[in-house]
Amino acid sequence: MPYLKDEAEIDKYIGEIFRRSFVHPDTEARVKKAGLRMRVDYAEPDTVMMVDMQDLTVVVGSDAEDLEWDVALAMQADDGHKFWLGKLNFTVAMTKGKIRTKGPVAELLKLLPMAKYLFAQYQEILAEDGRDDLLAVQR
Amino acid sequence: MRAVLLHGVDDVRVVDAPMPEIEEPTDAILRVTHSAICGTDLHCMHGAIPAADSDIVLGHEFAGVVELVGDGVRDIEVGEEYVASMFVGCGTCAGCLRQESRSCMYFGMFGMGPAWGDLQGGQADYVRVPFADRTLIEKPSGVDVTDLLMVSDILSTAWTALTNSNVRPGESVAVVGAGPVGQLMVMCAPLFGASQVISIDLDANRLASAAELGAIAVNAAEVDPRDGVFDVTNNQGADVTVEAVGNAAALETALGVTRMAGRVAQVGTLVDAHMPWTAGEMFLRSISWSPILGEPLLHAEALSKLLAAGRLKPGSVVSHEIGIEDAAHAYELFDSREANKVVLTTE
Repeated sequence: MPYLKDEAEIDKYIGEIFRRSFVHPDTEARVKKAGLRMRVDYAEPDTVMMVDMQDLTVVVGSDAEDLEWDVALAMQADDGHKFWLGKLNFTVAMTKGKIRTKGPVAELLKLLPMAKYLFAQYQEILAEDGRDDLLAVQR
Repeated sequence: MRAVLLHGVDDVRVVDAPMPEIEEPTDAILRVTHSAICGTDLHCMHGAIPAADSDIVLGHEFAGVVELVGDGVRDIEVGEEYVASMFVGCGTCAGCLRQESRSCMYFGMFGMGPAWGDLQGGQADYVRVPFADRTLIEKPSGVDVTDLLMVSDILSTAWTALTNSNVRPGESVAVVGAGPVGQLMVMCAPLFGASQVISIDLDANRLASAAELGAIAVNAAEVDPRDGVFDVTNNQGADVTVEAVGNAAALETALGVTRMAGRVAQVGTLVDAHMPWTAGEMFLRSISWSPILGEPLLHAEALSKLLAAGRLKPGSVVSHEIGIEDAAHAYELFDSREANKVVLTTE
């Protein structure tokens, strides 16, 4: 049973963390400077997320499928959830093959430092929604 | 004698050419029985190789019978069958002693024009072979001449790429391009211990040939080749990838399907192409990239033994045998990919 049960929950929680990154004081400038169009293909549940750091938009679902991207990731939705809880090491996951990457890895790695500012935000989003079940994740 | 002349860009014709003669004591004259058309010949034909686009007798893959030897030739027997290495070298300079053909001060390549030693090619009835003791490789007993012919270039190139990439047992090898060279990579990689060989191309027929040789086929016309490779390598990419097409897009594919800290070998001929990735991206991914020039002379002994033992049957990539008088048509067939590999015969 996956942590996030459907596309709507991926949008509501992981999509939201990216939306907050556009305005968070510690990440806003970094996101805009990166200007990347990042595609993430999630599995179980299956969906596509497009994070456009030029237009500052997040699109989840079939509307995201045909949008152009600069870098692309593919992973289990559970691993996406664990990452935002700070419980998945991105580079180790890449090396182990848990995360598939396409496009310039250098651009992706530049974004990693901002994630640490957002881990607490992700917990906040889940807590605000009363989702203690999603906070209780083992490594 | 008959010779296949590149008269100008996209103009290949069979002409009456003067017979070659012994010029140096170390020369031999070979009566060519079989010669093959290589992808590099097509690059010449299309004007893509500097100084190799006109007035060249083509052909660097050829085999035949020795007709005449110079006074300085010691070990080559008149009347015996040999295949020539595509490269010529003196065998005694520092470069040759380092086993680097390209470093020889007398380096040459048959049929590639003045920038490559200005040697007449072997798509002809006769050809002069410099440094014959070293350049000619004896035909082992029982080996088919078509199999041996592949040692002159494409089999040696495949073997050199896998050797120089240090393919280790258990590793995965991806090959971008399922043409004749790519197919021979598929054939050879298991002998290095590769656990799987993945063949990538846009051409379904060529992929089918690679699959028959044991490759996992990835049709880049139908699927992102990165997904095709990641799907069978636990999302990590291939340990070693060989680019066997010869364009920047294929090189980009090769880089993209290779795992972190993997190795990419460049076999396809590139002239004007830029590296599709930045140095920074290469560094961050710790990708090693190396250009490959096949070394027939370095690997001739091993390959001859593998041919004699029946462990390799490279002649199986040959789809057409055509008389040399129809060479222009043969080039059309190969250029249009209607033919997988063409051998021209003189008898």
